[in-house]
Amino acid sequence: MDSLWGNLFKGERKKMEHILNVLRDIPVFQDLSPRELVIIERVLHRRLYNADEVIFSQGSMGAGMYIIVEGSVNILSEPDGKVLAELVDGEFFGEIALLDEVPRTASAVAKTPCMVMGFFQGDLFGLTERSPKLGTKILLKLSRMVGRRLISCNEQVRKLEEELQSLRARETGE
Amino acid sequence: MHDLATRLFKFFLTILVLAAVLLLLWRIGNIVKLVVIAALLAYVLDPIVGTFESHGINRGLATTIVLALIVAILSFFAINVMPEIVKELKAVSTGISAGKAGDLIHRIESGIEKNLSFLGIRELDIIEKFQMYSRQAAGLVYGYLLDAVAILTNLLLIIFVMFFFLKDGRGFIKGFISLIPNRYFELALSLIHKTDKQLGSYIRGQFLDSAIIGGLTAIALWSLGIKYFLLLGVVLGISNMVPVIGPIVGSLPAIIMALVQTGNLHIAAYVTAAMFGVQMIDNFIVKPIVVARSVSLHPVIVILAVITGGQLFGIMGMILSVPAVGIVKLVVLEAADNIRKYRYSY
Repeated sequence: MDSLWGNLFKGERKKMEHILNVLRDIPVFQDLSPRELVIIERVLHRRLYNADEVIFSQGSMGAGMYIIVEGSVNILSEPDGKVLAELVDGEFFGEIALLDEVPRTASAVAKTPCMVMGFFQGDLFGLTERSPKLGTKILLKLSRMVGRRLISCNEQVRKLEEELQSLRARETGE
Repeated sequence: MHDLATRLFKFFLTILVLAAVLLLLWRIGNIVKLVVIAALLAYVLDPIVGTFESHGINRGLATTIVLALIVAILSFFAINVMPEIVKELKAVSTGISAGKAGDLIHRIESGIEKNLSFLGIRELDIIEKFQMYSRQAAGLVYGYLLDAVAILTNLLLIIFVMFFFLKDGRGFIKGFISLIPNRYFELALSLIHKTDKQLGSYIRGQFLDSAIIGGLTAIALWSLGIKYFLLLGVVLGISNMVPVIGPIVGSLPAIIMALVQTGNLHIAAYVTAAMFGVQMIDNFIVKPIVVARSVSLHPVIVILAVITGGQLFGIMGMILSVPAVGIVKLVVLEAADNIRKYRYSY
C-alpha cells in the first residue's frame, strides 16, 4: 500500500525537489533556508506554456518575474522580433516588475514547451506582511541586484561617453 | 458553419450549467448564506491571523488561536450580554408603557382625527397597532434567540467553514488562479490583488465603523436615559452598514423608543439630535479614517440595491447588497483600468 501511495506521488515529489533546486540557484532566493524555500514555493504560480506561446508582451504592464523550471524562453525586442537572449532552465526574467508595475521592455515567448514559476508583486508584498524576515531577505537581494545593475549601467554610460568624446575629438582633429 | 455550431453549443451548455448551479444554490439557500457569512468573516479576520503568522506562528495554529478567541468572546457575550438583550426585547414586547407615551399618542391621535376627519380618518388605535407589530417583531427575534439548537448548529457550521477558509483560503485562490488561461493570467492576477486590497480595506473598515457607531449610539442613548440603549446601539451599528438608508432606518427605533418611553417631544428631539450628531461624527471623522476608500455609489443605485437585496435574501440581503454592488463596480473599474494598462498584443 505504501509503495502504491509512494509511486502515485513520486513524480510530484521529484518535480517539487527539482523546483526547490532551481529556486535555490536564483540570486533572489540565495541564502534562504530549505524551510523558507518551501514557503516561497507555496506562493509561486506554476504555469505551463506551449512552444511559441507568448508569456508577456513588450509594452504590457509587468506584474512579476518568471523562473524557468523546464524548457527555454526567447526574450524578443519588438517590433522587429530580434532575439535579445535565450534563457534556459534555472534562469529568470522580468524581476524588475517585482518592485514596480512598469511596462515590459521586451517580449518573452516560449521557445520550447516549458514550465515556469511566476512570482508576483502582490505575493511578495503579502509575504513581506506575513513573514517580514523572509520578505526583507528577498527585498534586500532584489535591491542589491538592481543596485549592481545600476552601477554596471553607469559604467557602460561612462564608457560610451568616453568613446563618444574620443570620436568627437577624432572628428574635429580630422 | 461547424465552428458556429460548436460555439452555440458551448454557449448553451455554459448557460445550462450556470442555471443548474444557480438552482442548486437557490435550493440550498440556507447553507449558502452560512458559507457566505463564514467567507466574509474569514476575510475580515485574515489580517489578524496574518499578524500571528508574522510573529512566527504557523497558519494552522494562528487560525486556531484566533477562532478560540472568537469563541471565548462569543461565550462571554452569550453569558453576560445576551440575557440583557433578551430582557430588553421581552420588555419591548410585553408592554410599551401605556403611561406617558399613551397620553402623547392619544393626543396625537385625537389631533389627527379632529383635523383630518375630512380624509375619512377615524379611530386610529395607534397604540394597539404598535403593540401588535412590536409583539410580532419581538416575538420573531425572541423566538429565534431561544432556538438554541439552531443557533448552535449554525454557529458551529460557520466556525468550521471559517477555519478552513482562514487556513487554506490562499490555497483555494491559488487553485482558482491556476485555472485561468495563460493569456489572461497576469491581468487576472493583478486584478485579484488590487481588488483584494481595496475590498479588504472596505469590508474591514465597514465592520470597524459599525462597531464604533453602534458603541457611540449606545453611549449617547444611555446618557439621555433611553432604556434599551444597548439593543438600539446594535441595531444602528448593523443598519449603518447600508449607506444612505441605513442610518435613517437605524435611528427610527431610537426616536420611537424615546417617544414611547418618555412621551416627551423634547427628549425625542434630543435623541434625534444625538443620532444626527453620531452621523456627523461618522461621516466627518470615523469614515474618512476607518473606511480608507469607500466605494462611492449613486443614492438611486443604493436604494435599488437595498430593495433588490431585501426582496431576494431578506435582512442579510439588504446589508450585503450595497457592498456587493460596490464589489461589482470595483471589479469592473479595476478590470477596465487593467485592460487599458495591460495591452495584450497577441
